[in-house]
Amino acid sequence: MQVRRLAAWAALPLAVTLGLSACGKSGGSDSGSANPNGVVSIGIAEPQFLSPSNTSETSGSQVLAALFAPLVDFDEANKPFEVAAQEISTTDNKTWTIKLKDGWTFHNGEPVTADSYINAWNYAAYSPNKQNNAYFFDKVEGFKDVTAENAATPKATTLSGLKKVDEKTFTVTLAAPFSEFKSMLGYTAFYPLPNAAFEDPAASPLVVKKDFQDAPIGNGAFKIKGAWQHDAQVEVEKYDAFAGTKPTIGGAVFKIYQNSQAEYADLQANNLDVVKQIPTESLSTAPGDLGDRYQTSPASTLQVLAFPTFDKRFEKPEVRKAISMAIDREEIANKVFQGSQKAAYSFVSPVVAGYRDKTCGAACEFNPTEAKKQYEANDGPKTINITYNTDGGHQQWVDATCNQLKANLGVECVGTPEPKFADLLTKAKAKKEIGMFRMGWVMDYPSMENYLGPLYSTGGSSNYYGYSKPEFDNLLKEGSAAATQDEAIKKYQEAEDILAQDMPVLPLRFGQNVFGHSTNVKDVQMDLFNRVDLNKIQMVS
Amino acid sequence: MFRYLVRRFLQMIMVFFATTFIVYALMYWTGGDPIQALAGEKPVNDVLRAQLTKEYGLDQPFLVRYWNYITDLLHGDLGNTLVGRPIKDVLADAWPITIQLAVIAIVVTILFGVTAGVIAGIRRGSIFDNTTLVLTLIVIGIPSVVLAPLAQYLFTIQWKIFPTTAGGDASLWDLLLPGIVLGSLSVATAMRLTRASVSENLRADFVRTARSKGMPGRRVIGIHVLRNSLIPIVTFLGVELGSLMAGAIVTEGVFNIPGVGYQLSKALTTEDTPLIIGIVSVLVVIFLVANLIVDLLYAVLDPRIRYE
Repeated sequence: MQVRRLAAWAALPLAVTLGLSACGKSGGSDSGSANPNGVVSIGIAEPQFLSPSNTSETSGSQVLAALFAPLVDFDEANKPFEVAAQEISTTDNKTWTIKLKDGWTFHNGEPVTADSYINAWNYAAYSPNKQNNAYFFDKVEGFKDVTAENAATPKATTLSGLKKVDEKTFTVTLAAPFSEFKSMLGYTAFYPLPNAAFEDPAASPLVVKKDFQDAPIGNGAFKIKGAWQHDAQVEVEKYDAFAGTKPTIGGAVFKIYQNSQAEYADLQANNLDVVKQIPTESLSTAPGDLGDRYQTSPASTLQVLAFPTFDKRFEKPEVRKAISMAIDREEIANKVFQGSQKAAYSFVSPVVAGYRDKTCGAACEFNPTEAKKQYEANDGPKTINITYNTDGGHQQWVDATCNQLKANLGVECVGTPEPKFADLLTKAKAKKEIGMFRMGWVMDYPSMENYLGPLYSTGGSSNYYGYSKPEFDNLLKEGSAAATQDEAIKKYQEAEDILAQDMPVLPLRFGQNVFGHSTNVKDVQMDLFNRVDLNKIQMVS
Repeated sequence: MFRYLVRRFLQMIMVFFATTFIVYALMYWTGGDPIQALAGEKPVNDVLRAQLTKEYGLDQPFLVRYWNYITDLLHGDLGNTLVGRPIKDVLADAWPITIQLAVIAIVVTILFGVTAGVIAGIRRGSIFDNTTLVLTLIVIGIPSVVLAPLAQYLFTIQWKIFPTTAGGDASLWDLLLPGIVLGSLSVATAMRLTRASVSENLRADFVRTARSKGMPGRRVIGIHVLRNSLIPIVTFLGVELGSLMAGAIVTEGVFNIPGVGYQLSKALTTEDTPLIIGIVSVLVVIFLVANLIVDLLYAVLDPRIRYE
């Protein structure tokens, strides 16, 4: 009796009400059926912001995914399909016409119109608004005019590429053709905002109300219940007038944790339904603790080792390939990361359409004898170093990689620590002698192009190693101008093959979502942006 | 007494400015890149960086930044965190929880530590004395990073007695286990201190005199021994309460209690300099006040001590 009373205290009051309503409904327990009114609890960290244009981390974007519906979502093959949009069409990949579905409303009853999108995007792109996701609009015509260097005031307040056609239709003109624009529209940055979000919806430049993010009003399947309780939780409930596909649950509570161990402890005690990333310390015991409730899925991140082109020691592709072949990726993924990351043999992530396994070919296969032969034949450097940033837990795998290079190539190898990733990038940009260095890539939009353009095109925004190859640039351009997505993918794949020949970077590992769930939920899946898919998750009744 | 208070008050002001200056300087010179820390792995583009640098005043020289901070502080404005939340609100949410937790911990310390210390001090060499000696040795040996998760595992997951984590809106019941864990770390020290102090005073001249006067044993211990033994313990508890307020970073993390330690560790990982300095500034005040109260309590406990 005593223990039972205490256990009741321990459970969330919410879980208790859930249990009660579940019992009242079915009486006998049929674990197979789902409870459409169930409320799932999902662990997140404290979001930085809850604003479509400013949220760039997964905790905030998880909450926004409940409150907002995107223009497009992605199917099993990771290809986009329309959600809030009726049709997204283009003839030249440059001017895109977006027609919205009828009958959609924001949670305050306001209809979703073309202006809801145009206003939100103009607000996001205008540089004095300091929105983290402003750069998502850099392909839209007029982006340069709403952006000013050195914190100055830009020339224009709105994007010239956004034009309203009628209440439910608008066009987006891009600065250059981009066939993958439709895939970009699935991200947080492209959600609409209601008039209620702005201090004065007619003003230019637009200003979003300061307290809007405390209780965002979206167009999604769920509306916020109360307000964002900082460092505690955000609760959402079903929005009855939602015009899209009705969700399979009644609501969700996003419980905020600062410490991922605490989050995992709550999962073990069955107080929390989903942990999106099981903490490293618990990875070895989690499969035993959770059984088949321990799951993994590919995530969008990619870890690589980069060779600065200004470093003459790594000039020959053969040397780079030899180093690549001397690294046992599987061993590091399994021993150092305990399976929380997966060995990578391609340059693009498995979460995007067009991904092929082992595009890197023999150069990424672990082959110490061939590696050594090739390394010596091509006069590879006797000492190498790998520069990494110490704030991200990289030392262990860098050391392990160095040890493999020492053993397999007979070279001296040391890890060179830099305090921050930014320090590392500053040195790379200044062409300082930093040797090989680590790089991580987080996907912005699910397209092969996002793994190629910014990283390897001439002058690409994250091309810190200075790789430049005209054929590669041309293929990307052709891909972006291709008539269909399949044709674009073909071009991008050809571009990827060039990378495999040149090896400007060594792909090392793909991220993995290592997640777990309680006995109260089923069908837990992660989407492309490392979020729990709220359209699929079900409550067991 | 009044003059003493004025003197102490002036000292406190000096200490306050010196410590905030040192913390501000440390945060400034260790560098760091809060803008990158906010963005995580993604590189920050130059346009955004320039805007944010201007907004946070990161381009200003050190003394200007410190001066701005202090003038705002004296106007009661602690500033905003890097994500734009008023630090006042953050602290207003965090303090009540941490104070509750600290009070539970201190009560646990007094209840178990001081009581056991007194008994052990009176019955030196007894089984009770030896057992508690061994037990406290063990507890002293376990750091909180081990003790807190262990207690959490045993008492909330293995045997579902307590709630696993507290979260927002924590009730006293939610905070009980973390409070006990936190308190048990100082139980050992409090017990040792009390035991030593009591057993020393038992042999003091005034106790022998009282005994030979024929005073009953209970009164000897209750009035003479205990009161005189309390001075080191009060010092200890005063300082301990101060450090408990500083937030038990580990315990609050393990039990997900959004108190001061939780905020501090979050601020450290996100390099949220304004929040760190805001928390530390308030902590400095708390330490200073706690110390003053302890000093004043001496005079109450020992009439020989007078402040002029």
